[in-house]
Order: sequence, then C-alpha cells, then structure tokens
Amino acid sequence: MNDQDKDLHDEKISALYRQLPDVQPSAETDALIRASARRAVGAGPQRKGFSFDLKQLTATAAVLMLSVGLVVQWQKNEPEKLQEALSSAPAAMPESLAIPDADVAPAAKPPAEIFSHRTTQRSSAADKPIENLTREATAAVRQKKQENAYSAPAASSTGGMAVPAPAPAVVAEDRAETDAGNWSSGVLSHEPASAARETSLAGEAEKSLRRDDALAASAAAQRSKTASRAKELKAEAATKSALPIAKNTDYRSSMAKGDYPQALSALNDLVQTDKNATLLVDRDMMGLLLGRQETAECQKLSAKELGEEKPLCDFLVLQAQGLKPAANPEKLSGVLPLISGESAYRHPAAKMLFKLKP
Amino acid sequence: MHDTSDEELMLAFQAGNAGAFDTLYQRHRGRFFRFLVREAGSREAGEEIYQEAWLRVVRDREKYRVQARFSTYLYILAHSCLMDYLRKQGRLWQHEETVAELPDDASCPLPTPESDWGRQLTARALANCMAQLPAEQREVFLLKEEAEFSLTDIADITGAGLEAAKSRLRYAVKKLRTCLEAFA
Repeated sequence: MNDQDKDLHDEKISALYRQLPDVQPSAETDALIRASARRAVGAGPQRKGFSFDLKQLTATAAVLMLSVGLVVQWQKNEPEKLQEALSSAPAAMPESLAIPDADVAPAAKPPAEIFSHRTTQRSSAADKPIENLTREATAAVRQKKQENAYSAPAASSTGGMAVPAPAPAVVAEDRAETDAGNWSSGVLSHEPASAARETSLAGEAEKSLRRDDALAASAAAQRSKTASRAKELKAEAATKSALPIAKNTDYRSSMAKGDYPQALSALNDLVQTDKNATLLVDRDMMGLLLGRQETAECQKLSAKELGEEKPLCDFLVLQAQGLKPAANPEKLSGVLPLISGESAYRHPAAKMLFKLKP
Repeated sequence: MHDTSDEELMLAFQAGNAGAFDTLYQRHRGRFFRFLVREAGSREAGEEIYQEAWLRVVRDREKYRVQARFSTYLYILAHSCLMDYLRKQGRLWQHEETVAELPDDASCPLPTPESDWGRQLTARALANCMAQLPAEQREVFLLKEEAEFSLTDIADITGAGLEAAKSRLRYAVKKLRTCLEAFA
C-alpha cells in the first residue's frame, strides 16, 4: 500500500482543504469540558460501576418491595377497617362530635368560675377512661390556655384590686387579645418585671388559643367527614345485602334440617330472583353446588390452569361475589372436575352460580 | 509537560492530574473540532458530538489502556459518538451541509479587493463537494486530510478493513476531483 498513491492523494485538493475557513469550539464548550475533567479528578477515583449499580438496584428493590407490601397490606385490611367503621363510627359519633360547653367561650366567665370549672374538668378527666385522644389533647390545650389567660388576675386579686370580668359577648377570636389586654396592661399596675411576665403569659395564651381553635376545627371537620362516610357505607351495605340475607334464611333453614333439595331450591330461587345479587357462598353452599349434599371440604387445590394461586373454593367464592371478572369458562370447566369427580360446571347449581358473574 | 506524549498525559490524567488533561485537550481541540463539524455537516451537530466525545474521555478514563495512540482512541470515540448522534437524529449517514450553511462573516469573510476571489470560491466549492460525498467516504477523507491519519489508523478508527478504507479514500478523491472540475 502506498499512501502517496495518486488515486489516494491529490495535492491540489489538500491545498484547497487547508484554505477552508477555520472553526474552533466555543469558549463555553471548552470551559464545560475542562470543568468536567477537573470535577472528575477532584471527586477522587471513580467508583466501580458494578458496585454502584448493585447498591442502587438493592435500594430500589427494597423500596419497591416495601411499597408493594404496604399496598397489599392496606388492601387486605381495608374491608376490616370498613367493617369497623360501620359498626363503631355511628355509635361513637354523637359523643365525639359533642364539644363541651365550657370549651366554647371560657373567656366570658369570671376567673373564679373558670378556675372552678377547670378543677372539675381535671377531676372528671382523671376519673374517666381515655375515650378519644383528640378530645384529651384538646382539653389539655384548653386547660393550659385557661391557666395562662387567667393567671394574672389571680395574682392581682391578692393585691386587693378589683378585676372586671370580660363582657360575655366577647367573641372567640378576640379572646386572647381581650384577656391579655384587660388583665395585664389596662387594669393592673404592676412592677416592670411582673408586667413583662404578664405580657409573656398573654402571648402564650394567645398562641394556645389559636392552636386550640385550629385543632378544634380540624377535629370537627374530621368527625363530620367520618360520620358522613360511615352513613354512606352503612346505607350502601344495607341496600346490597337486603335481598340475599332474606332469601338466605330459607336456604339456611333447609340446610340446618338436612333438606338438601329444598336448600338447593331456595338457592335457585335466590339466584333467579336477582341475578345481580351478591351471593356469599360458604362451604355448605359450595358442597351443595358441587352436588355433594354435604359440607364441602375446601380442597386446597391450586388452580394454576386459571393463573391463580388461590384455593379453588376461594376462587369460586370470589366468582360468586363478582369480585373478580369471570375467568375463561373453558379453563374453568377443566378445573372443576378435579374436585368433584364430574364436570361440575355442567351441574345446574354450578351454572346458577356462574350466572351471578357480571 | 509539553514534551510529554499524549498517552503519558492521559495516564497522568487517569491518575488524577487535571493539568495533564488541559494539555491534552489543548493539543487536539482545533483539529478534532474541525473534523467533527465537517463530518457532521453543521457546527451545532459537530459541537454536540465534540462535547460528548470529550466527556466520554473523562468519564471512561479508568478504562483507558495504552494500546494505540491516544489520537486513535479519541477518534474512535468520536466515530462512535457520531454514529450515535446520527442514529438518534434518524439520519444515519445523511449529510446535510450545503454551501449556504457554511459559516460566513467572521470565519468566512466576504471577499475584498485584496482577497483572492478564485481561492475563496474554490474553497467553498470544495466544501460543497465534500458535502455531496457519501458519509463513509467523507469520513475517510477527513481523517486523512484533517487528522493526517495513515490508512491503517483510518481502518482502525472506522472499523472497516484496510482495503475498504483505501477504497473509500480513492472514491472520495476521485469524486472530489470530478466535482471541483464542474465548479472550475
């Protein structure tokens, strides 16, 4: 090979090439690249890519697993929470919603009354079991507020000075200001240190009042929200379960008597009456539907053909409840014989069951 | 440090000497930049590839081993960046430069009575002819003319065989001649 080959090199072209206008990188580009090099060297030796990636991957995997675990746990527990809300929330609501009268406008009362009320409140709080953390916290804050707001007049009364009670019409927003103003600056003449202490106490009282008001408003809003949600859920559940519960009575009594044909008939009625009803299938019903006329042993057969790891009974219950979209019937018919010894899918009761699917 | 070879400078940079990189960068910046701008077809594209190539030198400094000349290593990186860029742009080996896009004003001043009209026009004609070359041929031509690589180095940089590189260069020169004759 010869680089000077005439076909590979043309002096005229080379000369022309050297006459092409020069181009240089911009100053910004130079600075960027040089800074990058300095930064890289200044940051010390590079970490190995693998170990960095491994750490990153491990951290990401841990976060993902935690997130998924939390979501799954939450989904599992949600029905229980709802049930708990249904049973307990309405009963607890009136009490939790009630705000003690003394908490509404304590500033309108004379100091003596306030103190007596506070003492009563303390003793009753000590006697009663803790019902509601929010209420307790609210009460504690209010007590502190009252202490702070009225400590000045209590001290001044020892000096024999007349202390005017605040007007009853004083609104809550003005309480702190009114209290502090009346008790510490307008009426009482103290030594500077005492005045400063009073001012400080008044400031604390004002802060406490504001916190108190915000807390009370928040708690009230939360209680109101919970109450309305609980009512909704209760109404919804009542509507849903009305028909199946009534009809299930027939089925239950027949099952209790051992009259399986009658139980099957009752079940049939139930299904025919309301095809969209939510039917809770228990083991007895499952046995009946599978034609065993006895309590079915919910065999823990993994329905892998359906892509499900759940036991088959659970799967069928889910199907009956309409909680899961209908699976491919062809696959289903292939699985059912595994537990019934026959094509249970062709069994009339089984067909009824599947009619419930949306 | 001016007598130090490129390879030694790169090893020094690898060991944490930022000054070595500055020297290395200064040595190659002009030629390397011109090559990329002319190969990519525009200043903007060339500058982007230029930055990426140098940043890759910095980022992958730990992997550098003295197996060939540093300049070969640098232009291999540039070739890879160029391919990536063109692939991203969806115009792999599609040259867009025209005479109209050539820089004027400062870098390509308008002809004055003192300037050589014929030379300016012919240089522009060469730029236009280069733009019309297939990218593989233009790359080989630029590696030869701008970076002054041997055909063996060009074969290494482009990943083509020696004969392929030779063939591309031959075609490039031939086409440029024909093209320039048309401008004459």
